[in-house]
Amino acid sequence: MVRLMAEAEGIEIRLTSDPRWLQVLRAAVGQVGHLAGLDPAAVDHLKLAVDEACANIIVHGYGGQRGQPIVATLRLYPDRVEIRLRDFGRAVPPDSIRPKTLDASRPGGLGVYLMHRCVDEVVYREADGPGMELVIVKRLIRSEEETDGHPRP
Amino acid sequence: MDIHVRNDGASTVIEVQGEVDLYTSPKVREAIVAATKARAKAVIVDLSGVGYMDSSGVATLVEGLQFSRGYGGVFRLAGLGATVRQVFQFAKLERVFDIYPDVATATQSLEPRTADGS
Repeated sequence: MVRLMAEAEGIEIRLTSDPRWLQVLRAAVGQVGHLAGLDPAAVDHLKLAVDEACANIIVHGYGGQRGQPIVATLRLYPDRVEIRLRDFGRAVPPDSIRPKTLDASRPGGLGVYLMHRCVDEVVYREADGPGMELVIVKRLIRSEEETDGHPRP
Repeated sequence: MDIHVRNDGASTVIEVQGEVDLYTSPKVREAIVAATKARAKAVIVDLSGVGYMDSSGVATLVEGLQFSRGYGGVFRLAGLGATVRQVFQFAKLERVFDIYPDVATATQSLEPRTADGS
């Protein structure tokens, strides 16, 4: 379900924990990135970060169980794109989710590493109720003219 | 996502087209496992038709490399586009894999040299 959010610049997407929906969420994230004015590489990075986060929810939060709810809230702010992912699965202490040292012989943990590599902020929070909330932030880089309205000499 | 596998004697080429993610990477793994179980001398994964790959796709390719090395086979990647290549750069795996610009180049370098070195 896609619902327009009247009170904010953004949309809310409710999907279930089935990997086939990842491509749909990626497409929506890509469009929001374009709307925000991100360059194509930054859009790709945002899509990858959100995809990895959702894959983690499916695999770890819900233990691979299909049909469980994930709520993605995609918001545009003047200085950033902010994406919140809310799940209702297994919660872990937010501090325990950290990017691991990369090891080609054991690629597990690469997803969290890529998330941190691709966006400006990755913040896990304890949810109000079961599950967890993740906030992903990609900042918009604007020229100085756009930032303060006064071109530099 | 589509996968086409072809054997041309010296190598097994796995041509992947589409997006490789948690949903589709098991299909890529299936093709790689089949090729390595058959002990293909060389497995070349053609990624020129792949516009997106996440960590599950990368992990699948790492697994293929390990399978192949397990019996002394060759495992190569070909045709990585900018988006996929950047994931490999982020993952610091560019030097772990043998990466070629296209399948023709990857296959060409498999051909045995003649006695006079030509």
